[in-house]
Amino acid sequence: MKSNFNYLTLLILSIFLWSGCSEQKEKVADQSAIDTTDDEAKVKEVLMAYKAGVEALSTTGLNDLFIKDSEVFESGGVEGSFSHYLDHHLSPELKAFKSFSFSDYKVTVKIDLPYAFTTETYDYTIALVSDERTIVQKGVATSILKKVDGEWKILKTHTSARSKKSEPEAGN
Amino acid sequence: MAAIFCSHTILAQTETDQVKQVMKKYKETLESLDVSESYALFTEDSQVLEQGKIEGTYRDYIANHIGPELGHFSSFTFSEYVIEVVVDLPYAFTTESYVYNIVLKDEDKKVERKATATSILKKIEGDWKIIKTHSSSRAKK
Repeated sequence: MKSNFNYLTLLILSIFLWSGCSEQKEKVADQSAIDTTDDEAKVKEVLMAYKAGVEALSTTGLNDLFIKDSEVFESGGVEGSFSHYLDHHLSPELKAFKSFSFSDYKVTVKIDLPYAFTTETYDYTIALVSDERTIVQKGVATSILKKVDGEWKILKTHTSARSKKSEPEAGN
Repeated sequence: MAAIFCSHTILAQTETDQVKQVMKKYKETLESLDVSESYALFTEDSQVLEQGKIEGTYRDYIANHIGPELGHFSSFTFSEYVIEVVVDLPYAFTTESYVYNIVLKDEDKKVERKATATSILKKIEGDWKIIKTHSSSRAKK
């Protein structure tokens, strides 16, 4: 009797899990039929707002573009959440810049709700406050955004750069 | 209810382990200096990015970058390897941090760098595949 009960429990559990998986598959299949044009535009607005803030050397409002437990990676470094990156890296760095400008900017966005996967390519030019030096680099940024309560927020972002003309070190 | 919770936890752990296995296999492939058996780890329309550059698909990356590059290495090893995986079906998001050591064939030069890689995998017909990977590095302090 106990054995039959266990078998029945297992059967019910299997059906439950199978139906959950089926719903997940249907949910995924449905994504292709959804018009994501508006979401794509909104995702681009978030990324542009970030770039605009950096170009203005202003960090005001940048925290709002990220979820609280976001993750930031920059050229081989694990920077922690955006809030940590802002306090320990970006804010001090921007104070050392006279100007920061992006050019040759391109972005591709792939939406699969609730996520958006983006790839940005650009050149950036930095003029330093301390001397007359100008830094020109080619950069890429890959980000994952998530739609939370109707708003797109950056969940994870990874940027890396190389000198405009030279090749990077061997390996990754 | 507890049984259902446990089953979900076990399933999530299984998915995480499978994702880790794919990433482990990719690292082992690079360490073996032979990428010929690694195409199946990536989707055909995957995107590979490395240090400020879009390399194209994994096939492009092998043909134009890592394939020829591995030919110049006498060894390529990873150490201090840490991986974090978040699974939200059908996707998995990974973060790897590690140090890599390269010994070049032609000269007595060694390269040691601290690196991070963020990847997105997708479960397609029961198999986890890398759809996007971005790696970058910096000098080791």
